[in-house]
Amino acid sequence: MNLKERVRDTTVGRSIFRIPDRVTERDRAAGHWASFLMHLYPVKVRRVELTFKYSAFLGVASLVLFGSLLVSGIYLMFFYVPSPANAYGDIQSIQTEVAFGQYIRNVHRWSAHLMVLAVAAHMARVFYRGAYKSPKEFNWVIGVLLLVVTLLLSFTGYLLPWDQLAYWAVTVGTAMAAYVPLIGDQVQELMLGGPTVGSATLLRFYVLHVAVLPVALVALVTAHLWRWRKDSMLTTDAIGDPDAPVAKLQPGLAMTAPANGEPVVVEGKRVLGVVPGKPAAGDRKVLSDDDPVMVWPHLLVRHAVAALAVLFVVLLIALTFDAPLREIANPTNTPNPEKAPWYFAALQELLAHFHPLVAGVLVPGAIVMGLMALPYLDRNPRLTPEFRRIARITFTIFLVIWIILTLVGFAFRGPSWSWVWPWQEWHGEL
Amino acid sequence: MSDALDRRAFLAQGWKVGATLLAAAGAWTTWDLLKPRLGAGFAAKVKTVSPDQVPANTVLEIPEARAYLTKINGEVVALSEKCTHLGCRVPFCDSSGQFECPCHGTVFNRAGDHKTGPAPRGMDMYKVEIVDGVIEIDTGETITGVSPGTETINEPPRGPACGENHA
Repeated sequence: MNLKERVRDTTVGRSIFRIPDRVTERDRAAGHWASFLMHLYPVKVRRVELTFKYSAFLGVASLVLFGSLLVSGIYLMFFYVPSPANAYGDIQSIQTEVAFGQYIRNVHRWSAHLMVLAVAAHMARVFYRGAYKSPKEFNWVIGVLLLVVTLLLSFTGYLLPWDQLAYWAVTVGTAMAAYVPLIGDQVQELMLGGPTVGSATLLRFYVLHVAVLPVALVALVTAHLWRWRKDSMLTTDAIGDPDAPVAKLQPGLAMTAPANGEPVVVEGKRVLGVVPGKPAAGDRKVLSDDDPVMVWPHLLVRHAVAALAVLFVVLLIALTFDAPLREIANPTNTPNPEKAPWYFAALQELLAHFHPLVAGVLVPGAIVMGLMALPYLDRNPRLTPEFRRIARITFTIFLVIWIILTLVGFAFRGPSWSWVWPWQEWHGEL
Repeated sequence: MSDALDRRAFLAQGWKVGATLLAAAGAWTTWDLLKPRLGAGFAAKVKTVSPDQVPANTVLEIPEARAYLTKINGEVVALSEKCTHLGCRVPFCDSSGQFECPCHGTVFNRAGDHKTGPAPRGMDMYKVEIVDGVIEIDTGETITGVSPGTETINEPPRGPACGENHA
């Protein structure tokens, strides 16, 4: 009996660890029900979900980056006072006086950028897989909300260093809100806490950044994961053609035996009862993509590796590149060019060409609403790419336009928003 | 029993009404609590210079009022530094004699008329008064900028733009 087993065998140990030894599949399933964290996972997933090609583990990556942001953010909170008199100096002293301060700030900054990337890429991957279709429509909606909250978290954090980059990006960002019809001015004032970006704005953004939005994100992620687990089990239970049955499933129906007592018919063969042909144990079964596999250990081990890989990348970037800190915020001097954070660069590019009501309110509003409505507008139940040409092409066109606009705004714009070639003059800000 | 609300139905509906009222009260409280208290430090009257010191071919910046003073057709005007597009501070470019916004490239002439760029109107102005020979800018009273196309003065750019210079 090794040490671990001896600890588990004590009265205290037995009261803490309820997970049985995972010898049989039944033990493994029981382990899921007995553990809080494991409970977030379904017991089984389809075999295809183990592959990198399926999800690129982008959901896991987003979650790991959020964890990294929570941990590094808590460290930073010990050394930061959200007031215009202190904020900039606090960031400077974090970088120069606090042990590993610069490093922690780097981790926080780069994790934030990477999380925006990971969440957006996760959404694109889910779209191309058609995974927003029945019964997962609402989980896609929650995902869109998570993207919005992620962007808001990143944007509110952008102001906190109180440098020129922060001050003017937030001035422009909040000015867009003023163009919302009827309530725009009030919304802007509510965000700023005054007529311009000032001490009230800094405090408001801080409270949103460290309390309101993280709580909202955790709540939404919880619902997102819970739904993923439920829907995943529905999908696993729908054996057979991946195109047809899943879309027709009603939540809860597939979890139980057929209501009418008829045996399940899969691809024209009766599953229950005597099936003519070779005995079941005869040939080694060739596993298909839809065969269910145990989450523990198959999926868990892959998630652990993916999480470590993401953390490794973040820590490496943080070791290599320092988070930028420009000169202290100066309300009497707008830097030229003034750039929004990169994930708003596409909007800023649009703002240079269209009326702010269009570029700052209608376009982002239409994007968010359109994304949320997508699973209800796309009535095609097919999942396979060749039957989804129009959806895939439309989405790709929008995605490419957005990426081009982002690149142009981020790297190809110089003083007074004039065109520059990034290899001649670099004006990108991260 | 008629269709009138009986006690059971009243109570069953009552908690929903109560919850709605509570939510409304919460929203109202939040709004009232977070609504900015305007007027603190802003909207003040700023004493500046005498009218003779205001130039007629360039602008004079008054940082305390976040405004520029200039003379248009012999009259002193105070232009708000805030771009009417998205609130960036608009600097005056000496080489072109125009205002050039660094954020999205809107150009205004010396009178604040909109020339090119995405801003929806000309630069906003503040009310000015001459009190005891000194110009007073009333930052509490904004005069909305003129609509695009209006030409208060006809001053073509006198040289290269600052943004182009840089690039």
